[in-house]
Amino acid sequence: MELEKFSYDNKIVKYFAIATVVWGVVGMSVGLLAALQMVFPILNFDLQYTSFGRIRPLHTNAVIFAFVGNGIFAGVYYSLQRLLKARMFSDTLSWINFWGWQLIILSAAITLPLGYTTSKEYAELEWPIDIAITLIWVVFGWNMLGTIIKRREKHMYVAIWFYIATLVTVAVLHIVNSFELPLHGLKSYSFYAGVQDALVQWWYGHNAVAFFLTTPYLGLMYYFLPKAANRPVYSYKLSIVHFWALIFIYIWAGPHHLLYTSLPDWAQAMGTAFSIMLLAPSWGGMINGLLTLRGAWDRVREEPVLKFMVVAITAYGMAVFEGPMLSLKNVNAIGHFTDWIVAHVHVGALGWNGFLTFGMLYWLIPQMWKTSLYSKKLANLHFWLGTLGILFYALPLYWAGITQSLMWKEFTPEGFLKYPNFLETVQQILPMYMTRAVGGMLYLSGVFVMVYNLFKTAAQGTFVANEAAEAPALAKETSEHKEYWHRVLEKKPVVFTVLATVAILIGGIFELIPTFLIKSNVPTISAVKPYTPLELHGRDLYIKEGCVNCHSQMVRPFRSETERYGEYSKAGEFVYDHPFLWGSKRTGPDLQRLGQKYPDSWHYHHMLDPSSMSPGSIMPPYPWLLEQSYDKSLTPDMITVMRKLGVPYEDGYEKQANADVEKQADQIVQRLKDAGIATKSDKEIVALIAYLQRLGTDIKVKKEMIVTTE
Amino acid sequence: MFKYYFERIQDIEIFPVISLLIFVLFFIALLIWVMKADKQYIRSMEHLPLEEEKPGKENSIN
Repeated sequence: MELEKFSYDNKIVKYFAIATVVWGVVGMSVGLLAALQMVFPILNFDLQYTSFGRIRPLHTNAVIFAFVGNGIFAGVYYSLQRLLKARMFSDTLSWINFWGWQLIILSAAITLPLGYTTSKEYAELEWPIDIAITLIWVVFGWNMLGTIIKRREKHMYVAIWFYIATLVTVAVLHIVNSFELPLHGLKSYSFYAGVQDALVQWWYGHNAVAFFLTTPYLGLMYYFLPKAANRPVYSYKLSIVHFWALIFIYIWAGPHHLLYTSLPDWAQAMGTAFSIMLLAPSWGGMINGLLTLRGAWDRVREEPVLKFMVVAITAYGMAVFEGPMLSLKNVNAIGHFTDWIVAHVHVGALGWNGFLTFGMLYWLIPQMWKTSLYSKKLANLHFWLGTLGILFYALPLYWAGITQSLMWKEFTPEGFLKYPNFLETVQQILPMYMTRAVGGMLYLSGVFVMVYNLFKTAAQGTFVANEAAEAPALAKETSEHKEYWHRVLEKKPVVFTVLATVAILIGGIFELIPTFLIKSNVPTISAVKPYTPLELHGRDLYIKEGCVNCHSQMVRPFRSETERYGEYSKAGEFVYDHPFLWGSKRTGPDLQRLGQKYPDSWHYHHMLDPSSMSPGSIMPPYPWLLEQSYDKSLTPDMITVMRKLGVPYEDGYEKQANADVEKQADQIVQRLKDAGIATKSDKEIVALIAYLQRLGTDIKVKKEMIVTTE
Repeated sequence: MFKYYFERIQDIEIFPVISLLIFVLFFIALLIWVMKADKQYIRSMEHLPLEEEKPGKENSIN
């Protein structure tokens, strides 16, 4: 066997590792700001760029795509080369991947505070950035598959299967959920509407958690945990079952984000059933990880890297136990829209993704700089700061979520809501919000300790950009008889990729296709009419300011909700909503039935200073709405785009739309004037009031609702 | 528009039955495959990440 000499590319791993750390600090700091804003509204700074509605998506995108995203690339680029005994397919593609991804993150960091958002959670970035993400993802995939094809190791280790599944599924999810029609260079409307949009969004959202935050990191676990523990994974057979079961089942569970909403019942039941099944493969992975340390637990006491990994896998196990539990409809009835969900997400993000990343970095940096870790003491300090941070983050929010939910649902013996004022339930949990912020601070301070420690480690070592290696070339394939099927698969990575794709597509197809049968799944309501052009402007402002981050538009069919908000939401009410705005968290009350509840002047004062109308409110003020004007020149295009999407505006209406805008705006200005408020008809506040006063009023119109199915 | 074709699917309620069958058959097949797997192959795969890349290189924490 002749040995071929080649080298591993460590430089690209170094860059991705640095990017992970830098963006981690940024993303978590923004998260801390958001947490503090919920206790001290003054920290919204009365600026549009720093108000919670825009900061929150900035935080989620930074942590998911910048921190974890770069963590994925760092880990994949390091482990893939070594598992395949080959340098990356193309250095050029590697660097396009690196700089392209950083540019995408930068554009997100600029556009989100400016208010350019699609409002779809974790898919907030606008259409040009969506296209850029697609291109860079293809570059990453090309580079990865190219490396697999020119490999020197016959078989593909299980970690690589997880990488391939990640590549394929994220591509499918991102493309399907990003179908949108551009209005201008930085604004688009979702191709889907209402219930359909919600289903596609949460098919995406849930599987972003599955295939961006879970599968790539399981791949990293299967590589870096055995490396750090210096022992093979507990059961390779289990990892085979784990892989196929996980990708087969995960993709179906999206509807569990929409329990008790207007989504058809069959889809809700399907989401619940598959979520419960999901417990098996998820815990299979956790068990495989933890049992890898069988007989080596004494080393966990000594080794910070292993400490981080053990807590990461444990947090993963807890989060994926909780997921199926929250998917039970009776549990979801309590948990949904509350801080319980935020706690659940952060056990995954801080525990699983954060700690696995830290463990990986503490192992990787000394390896690449050919030295040992600068200080185990500091790594242990980081470990305890992080662990305490997670506890101080999650526990108060569990408490807060359940407390608030039970307050929302409580009735007096006479049959009235015990806490009719929503703000009472908010005031009750503010101490918990404060404690959560302390937890975030602890966690973040641990990260700073890590930055110092890793920097000192690198400073005392010497970095090897191209690590020399040698391995025999891959022998030409010869047909062996009686070959174990999976080996055949692994020899044919392309076939394997196709099979993995089929596995994830089955779930997607079964979930999405029936919902496209609009006629049978969404009963149409004749009273529901398209928005007026001014209301469309208002709706765009509602999206721009990120109102959906704190306010739902989905009254669930519980007595406690119909008492508090009004008639429960019907699927047919949302048919013109591109995108849907159901929301997934109620930091403030639901707004589905807000229309005509208060006079226009109430909204004017409330947006200028929320606490003037609702004493003790933690909503940020929006003074700029009173100063800025909405862009009337866009009106014709808005109507045209909406018509293309299927909203029945009459032909030629776009030409007279602006006349209607002025008419409706003048009426609002007049009503405000009667209440002693002077404003102009072109101000943003006027458009927003028009939209808010329209919300949920269509089905109140008359008694002549005709509901047709089929 | 592809919606048109799907609207004409007869007996859409067969979908759940099909999905149940796909699942049961797939997982039975998977379990059989895994049980029949070649021991030697499994062992070699388990040790793949641990193979010494180069003599004299720190490969684990000691």
